[in-house]
Amino acid sequence: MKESTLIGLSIFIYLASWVSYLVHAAFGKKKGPGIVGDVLVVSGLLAQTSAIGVRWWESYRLGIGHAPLSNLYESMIFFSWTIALIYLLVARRLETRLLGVFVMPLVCLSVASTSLMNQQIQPLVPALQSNWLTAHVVTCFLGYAAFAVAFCFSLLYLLKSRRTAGAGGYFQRSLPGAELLDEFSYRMIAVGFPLMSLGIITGAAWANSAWGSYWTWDPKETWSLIVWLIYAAYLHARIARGWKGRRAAILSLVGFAATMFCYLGVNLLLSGLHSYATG
Amino acid sequence: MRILDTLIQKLAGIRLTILLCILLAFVSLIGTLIPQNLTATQYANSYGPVAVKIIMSLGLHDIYHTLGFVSLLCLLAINLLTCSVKRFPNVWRALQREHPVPADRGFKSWKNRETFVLSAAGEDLEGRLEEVVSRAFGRGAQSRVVEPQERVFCVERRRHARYGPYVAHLGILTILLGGVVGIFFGFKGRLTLPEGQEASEVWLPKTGESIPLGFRIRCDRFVVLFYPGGSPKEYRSEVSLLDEEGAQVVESEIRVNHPLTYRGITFYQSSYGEIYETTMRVRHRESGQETVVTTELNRPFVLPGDPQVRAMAVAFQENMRVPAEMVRRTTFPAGGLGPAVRLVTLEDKGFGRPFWVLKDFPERAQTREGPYDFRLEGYRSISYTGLQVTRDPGTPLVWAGCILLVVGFLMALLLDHEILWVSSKRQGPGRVTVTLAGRGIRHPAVYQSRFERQKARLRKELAPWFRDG
Repeated sequence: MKESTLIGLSIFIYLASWVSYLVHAAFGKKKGPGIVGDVLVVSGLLAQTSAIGVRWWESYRLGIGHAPLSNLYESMIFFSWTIALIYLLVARRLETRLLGVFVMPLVCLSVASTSLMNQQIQPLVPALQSNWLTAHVVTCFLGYAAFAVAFCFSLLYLLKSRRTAGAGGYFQRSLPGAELLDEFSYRMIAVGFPLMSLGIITGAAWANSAWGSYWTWDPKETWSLIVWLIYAAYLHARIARGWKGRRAAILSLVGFAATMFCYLGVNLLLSGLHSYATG
Repeated sequence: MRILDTLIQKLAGIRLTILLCILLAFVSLIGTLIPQNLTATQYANSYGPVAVKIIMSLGLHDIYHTLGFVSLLCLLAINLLTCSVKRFPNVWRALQREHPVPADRGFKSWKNRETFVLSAAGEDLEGRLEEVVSRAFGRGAQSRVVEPQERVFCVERRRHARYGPYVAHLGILTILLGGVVGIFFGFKGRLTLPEGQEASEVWLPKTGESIPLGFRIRCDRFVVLFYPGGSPKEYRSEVSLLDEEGAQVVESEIRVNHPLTYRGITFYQSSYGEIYETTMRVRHRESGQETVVTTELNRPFVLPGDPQVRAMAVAFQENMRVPAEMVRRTTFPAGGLGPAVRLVTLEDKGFGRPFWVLKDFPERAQTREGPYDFRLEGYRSISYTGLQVTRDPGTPLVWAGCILLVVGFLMALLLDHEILWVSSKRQGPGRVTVTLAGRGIRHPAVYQSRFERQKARLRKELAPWFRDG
């Protein structure tokens, strides 16, 4: 099958899984829709994985073989793939499937946004021809995806802990305990932070071998540092000063906003060395 | 003294760490919104005359090197250092100490607790409990007899996870130290090397000075390869390194992502381009003396007739364009004037007025006033390679710091110091209860799933005594 067909299929399946989770949230007594949602996420992930595989293979057929991690389109596909994957890994450990209500639109949106991007398989320009490429992109995006899931947990936490008259709506009641949501958000950040650090370090090592300097205050580097500092503040506030709940959740939202700016905003709005990822 | 104590207290505080993280993030953010290291004119063009004054006076044009930003970084280093020095000994001592047996020996208040009732077990089990515990949880259990009928074991696992934050902080300090070493003992220079030429020193843009390399580098060839689609595939400089006597010591190539390091100095492929070499015939009108000069741009040469006067080519165009309006007024062809070199004379008084000399219109030279007659006879383009030349003795420190940082994070965030208590109590003839209680020190809320696994391990080891129960 063609890559574009597989991507289209995965968007459709992810969308269907979101609908299932919504149905599950609305008629919570029944487990069925939630399970259907899980199955759909797995199939969407399979479709997307094959799309990535097809593209990879195709690049070798064109004689310019490289891992599909070299431009905005490829990174966005990989980003949404990691979010879906992390969601599946985390959801196994949760009793509820309501996280899917928040994660799946994020996945759908990021896969769908790729239709606006240049999807051509391009050969690697000299600066990208490095063994660091895969290590750098994979670690960065695993980190981003972990922060994305943490963001969803924080949103759920804020919904759960919102004071409402009476016992709250059905959705609110059926969410797992606020404390658990808070803790999971923290765990995702604790996983994402070392990954993101590895992403910055591999990027620095790469910059050092390509441009002769491991740090040049390029906007992309600087924004990754900003994200890193925000989550560093989060971890210190939480571990050592007992910030939990609302304040921690808000910091996690800010952190994710900065992450998204680091990923997309810098490439689209600011100029710098990292311009491969715009086209 | 009290003020000093308070100061140290504050400097070592986590509150300061958080504040510094937020401040550094904020200042860095400003630096990404205002493009860095432009000239005052460039700022004036995009922000206006008032803003440019603010930018230049606050140092916002080079924010990462302002005293304020560097102070924040220093403060962070001090904060990390004092914090670690203050807390580490306590953690170290706490981890060397034996845990006191909790007063609540039934572990009633522990969230993660499991009691196994072994109805048919006797002294046989009690004698072998230590073996059972070490088989389940590894060696290192400390056994303590509390009362004749009661024994308690404490098992600590992944104790080293507690050192994680200190390892990570040491990593950050090492990285900062590496940066400082690079600033004081390293350099970043640029080298523009036309094919066939060599250089023995490198120019540092920051200070404007040139420093000797200690050897010579020659560019033998510069090559650009393209993909069929037209995008660049490879930039390659083929270079030779020569010692002071001119003997070749290294022949190698420099590509993007594949720098060349020699005697601690690294050469990176950074840019490329073409320079022009022009051949000119110059005649001194008065004496009729003539010379032919072949020269590159910006290299002064002596003129015939008067050795005091020199000239220099400052620009070259392969096909000089003229404005459409000028084409209309003159007989110049609209397609361009062909090759043109811009010259300037250098006399005692200083620079003369620059002027263009056109290869295809030599008659124009006759009409120019002045003592000389210039003709452009030919030109040749030579590829040059632009190399970044760096020495940074701080990088090993930076990479070591990065390794410490990642190891520290993994220890601190993904592992947890776990304390397990196993107590056995004889309840009557042949009847023994074994209680397992556990706790994750840093991440208690997610300890449960781990405890389930520990429970299963102990149950498996206790299986022989369940038999008759």
